[in-house]
Amino acid sequence: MLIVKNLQKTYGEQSLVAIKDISFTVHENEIVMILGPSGCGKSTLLNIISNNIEGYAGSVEFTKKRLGYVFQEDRLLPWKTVKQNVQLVNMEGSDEQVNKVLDDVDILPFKDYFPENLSGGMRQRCSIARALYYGSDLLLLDEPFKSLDHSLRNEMLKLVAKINKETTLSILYVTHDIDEALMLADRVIVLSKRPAVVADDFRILEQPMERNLESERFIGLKKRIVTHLEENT
Amino acid sequence: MTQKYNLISFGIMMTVWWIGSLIFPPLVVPSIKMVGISMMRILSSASLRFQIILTLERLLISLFFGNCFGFLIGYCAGVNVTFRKLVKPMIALLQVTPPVALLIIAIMWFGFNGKPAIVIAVFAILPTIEISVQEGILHINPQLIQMGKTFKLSRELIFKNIVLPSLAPHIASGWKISLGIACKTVVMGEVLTTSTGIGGNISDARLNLEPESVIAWTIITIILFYCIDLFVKKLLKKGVN
Repeated sequence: MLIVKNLQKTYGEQSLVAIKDISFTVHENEIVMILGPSGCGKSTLLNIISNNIEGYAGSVEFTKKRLGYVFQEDRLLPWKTVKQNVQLVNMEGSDEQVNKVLDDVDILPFKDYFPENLSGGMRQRCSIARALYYGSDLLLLDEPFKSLDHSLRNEMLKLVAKINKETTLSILYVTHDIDEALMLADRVIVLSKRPAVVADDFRILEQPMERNLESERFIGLKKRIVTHLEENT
Repeated sequence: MTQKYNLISFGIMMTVWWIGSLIFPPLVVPSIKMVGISMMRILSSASLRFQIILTLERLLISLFFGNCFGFLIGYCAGVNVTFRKLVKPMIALLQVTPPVALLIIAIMWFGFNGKPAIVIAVFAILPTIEISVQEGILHINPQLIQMGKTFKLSRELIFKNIVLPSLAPHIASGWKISLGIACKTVVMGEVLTTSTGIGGNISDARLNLEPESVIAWTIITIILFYCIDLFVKKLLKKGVN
């Protein structure tokens, strides 16, 4: 569905290399987590994939139609209600369809609220609803739950897992949180510090959000990731 | 709460006026009653009511052109750096040029009629609106624009749903200031260039030594200001809904 080949991005005249020779593939209904330290170029990678950044080497091939984005900040329009924010990205959808999407992310009772009257978690739910209502085939998530507390973040991760399970949607999620990646991913791609290169790439077969991170296997995986991150710094 | 303070403020002004009218002769500070009678005379006369409509017409024309040109130039200056640099000295020039100097030139172009009043009002409004819109454009959250582009919103949708609402607070404050400027400059232009409209009648009242008429016409100008402001606010609210 998404094929990224030898991606490289440099900034400025001094040719500051942000990401270097990154290649990976995202298949249908797969959750791929890109894990890397803060500032390693994870967001740059998503911005290239979503066509928000130009001037890079390598190629990005997206075989489906629509690509939704859940940003780090909710990026909701403060002058529009929850429902209007969601409706904006797909003018052809019906009222029932909007309500269904809002219900799927448990925000329907708040459809007439303005973003300023919602909590951080609710705003991100709205942001996810917007990306779903857009009719996305691939959902890009850029550390969307970074500012939420632990239990709320867990709730939101369960929501993402539920969406992935109930639809054919693929998810490409970037994070710097090892636990988050191990809990949700079908596949983890570990990036090094700048310039970001792929340091590790492995699959996890257990069901997302039903994993025991205290088990020996996951403790081993954590150590493996930490070693990779330390090796590359 | 605001209404309460408005009433107190109004009460203070009326009291000062009333005390002033007791101390000074009517030629210096006419009484509230004299001004009230003068206002009734104006409002009950069809020909004098027509003078108010004349000024209103000039005001609306100058507001229309001043706002349109100001918005257009401000928008272009906001989105294009080269245009902004080119326009900046011209706007600065307009800001410091005395309206009276412009009025003299306008008289030479159009003669002694209402047109010079419109011209100076347009040039007086233009910089305010231009700066408001330009600042508004420069302060639009780029993340919201990026969101719109990511979800492949058309240019029209981005303009209508992101750009215009972002500009609204800047336009609203610019509008309020420009309306005040327009009221003052149009009436001033009329005083100096024509015998019609509110300004023309103020000029007549000055020649006839009728300070109560001057104040009555001034109060009518103020009422006109609030009526236009209220009308536009209601119109905008309807548009937003």
